[in-house]
Amino acid sequence: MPRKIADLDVREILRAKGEPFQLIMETLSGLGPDDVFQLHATFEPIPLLRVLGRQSWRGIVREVEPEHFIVQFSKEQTDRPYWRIDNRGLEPPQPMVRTLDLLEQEPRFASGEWGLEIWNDRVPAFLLPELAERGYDYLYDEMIDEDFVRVRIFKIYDGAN
Amino acid sequence: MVPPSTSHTPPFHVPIRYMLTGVASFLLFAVLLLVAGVRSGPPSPAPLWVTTTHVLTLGALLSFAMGASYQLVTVAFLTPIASVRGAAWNYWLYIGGLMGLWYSMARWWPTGLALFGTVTALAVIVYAVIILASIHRSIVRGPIRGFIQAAHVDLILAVLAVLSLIIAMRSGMEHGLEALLVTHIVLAMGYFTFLIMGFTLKLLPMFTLAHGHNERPTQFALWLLHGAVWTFILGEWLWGPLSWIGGALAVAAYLVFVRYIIDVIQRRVRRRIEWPIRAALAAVASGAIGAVALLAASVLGRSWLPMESVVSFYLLGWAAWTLLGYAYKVVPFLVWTHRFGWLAGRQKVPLVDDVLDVRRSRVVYALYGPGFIGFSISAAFGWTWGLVLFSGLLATSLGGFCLHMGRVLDPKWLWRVLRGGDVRP
Repeated sequence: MPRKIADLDVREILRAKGEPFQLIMETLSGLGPDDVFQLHATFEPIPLLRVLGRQSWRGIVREVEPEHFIVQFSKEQTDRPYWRIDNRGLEPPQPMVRTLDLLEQEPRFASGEWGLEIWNDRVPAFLLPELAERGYDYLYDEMIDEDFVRVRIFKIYDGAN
Repeated sequence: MVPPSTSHTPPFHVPIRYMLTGVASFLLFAVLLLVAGVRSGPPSPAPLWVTTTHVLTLGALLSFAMGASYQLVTVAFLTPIASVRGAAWNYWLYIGGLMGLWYSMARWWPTGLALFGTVTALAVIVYAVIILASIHRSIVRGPIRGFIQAAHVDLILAVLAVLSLIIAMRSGMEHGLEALLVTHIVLAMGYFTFLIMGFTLKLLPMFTLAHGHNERPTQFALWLLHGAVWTFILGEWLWGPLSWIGGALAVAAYLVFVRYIIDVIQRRVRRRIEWPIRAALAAVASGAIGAVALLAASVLGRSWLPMESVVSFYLLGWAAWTLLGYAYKVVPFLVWTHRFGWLAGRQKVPLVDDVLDVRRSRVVYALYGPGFIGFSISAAFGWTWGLVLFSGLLATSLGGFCLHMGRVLDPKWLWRVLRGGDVRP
């Protein structure tokens, strides 16, 4: 099975004072070891991060607008936290635009605190020079078995930014 | 994971100069086609037809293919061009040779033909060597590598064949001239066929968003095509019936390739196939029909089916139509990348569709399809009225194509880029 980003939006449940924990656990139970779980919530779900952390799901949180937090959970062990986006099935130049938009929107990429991992149909030949131009390093990996290319984009984190 | 690589993309002025020359040559070809149809009747060795044919092959098709190759090789093989400076300077050698050669053909000036033919040949060989050297450095394997390498080897051999022809003619030789000419034509057709099939392996899945298709059978198409080219040439030099086998191998190669195309289309994610891709698919069908016509001409004899008609059908229906198809996707994307790609994320940027709405291309194809079919049939039967009518359709269609390509490029920005300036203000 090709890896995927499973997206779950529980904001409506939370606004209605409901309890989405069961739904979250059901979604997680259907995921493979390489999959990513992406949760939309109205607040930063610190207790959930702690609970899932004990099950080796590492989570990172972005506040994209007031009362809209996106949390990504992954089991993959990496040198730094990586935010992941799936650009497969998008026609060029959409993967490039999406990637550069996100790099500009989230300051933790520019500071080196986080890295960005993109899943593309092919090596993004036109994106790579643009990344270098903006001071990012990158590594790419052709996932032959799953027929896609994984690119990890990052800056060296000096902790002072 | 693969370590960081530097930018492979050549400066924009390198591919776009060649591609623009290709577009301008299409316009010139459209005008000459109309004039030749009216003044000289069906295609023949008359100077005007020879010039018209070489405006299409050396100008429109080869020039555009050179520009596209300088760009696509870096993307498909993840390698830089072996000599960017060589590619940039070679443009002037090529354009100088080309202009002189067209003039010499139109005036049938033997000294000019020899001089400018040699200059153009040298420029084409330099281009092919740069591409082969670039691919040689790449770690990318697979069928595409075989196709693109074969294309450029055939191109070098096609040029050497025509140089031999010039030398043979100037030294007064009488034997083997037609065989040399056929060798040149078959190798040139081989170049376009290998090149189109090779880049189709990259472009078609990209523009249809196809996944999980099997590229391996195209290896058979590659070897069948090699067999087709060489048995056809041997048939011309040694024993006529060998060319039957050449024709049959060409048909078999297309059948394998068509099977691959069907596989890609069946596995596409994008449901709606855009007009430029439909044109490229129609061109594959035309190529297959051209291969059948080649086989028929070999078996039945050239008095039944003139080789000029087969070649013109093949060039217009396969090579030119494919180019007209992919150009609508590749040129706006390239221009967008260089004009707006660096702004992405920093400010709102236009979409590629804002640069050129590809739906406009359908008018061009609606005229081009009947135009080249009617032209080829009229050429085969010697119908002058048909030649004039369908040349008019082709000229209108190609005029529309040039207009669309012209709209993609902002003249002030383009002028700066063509002079070697930065794509960024």
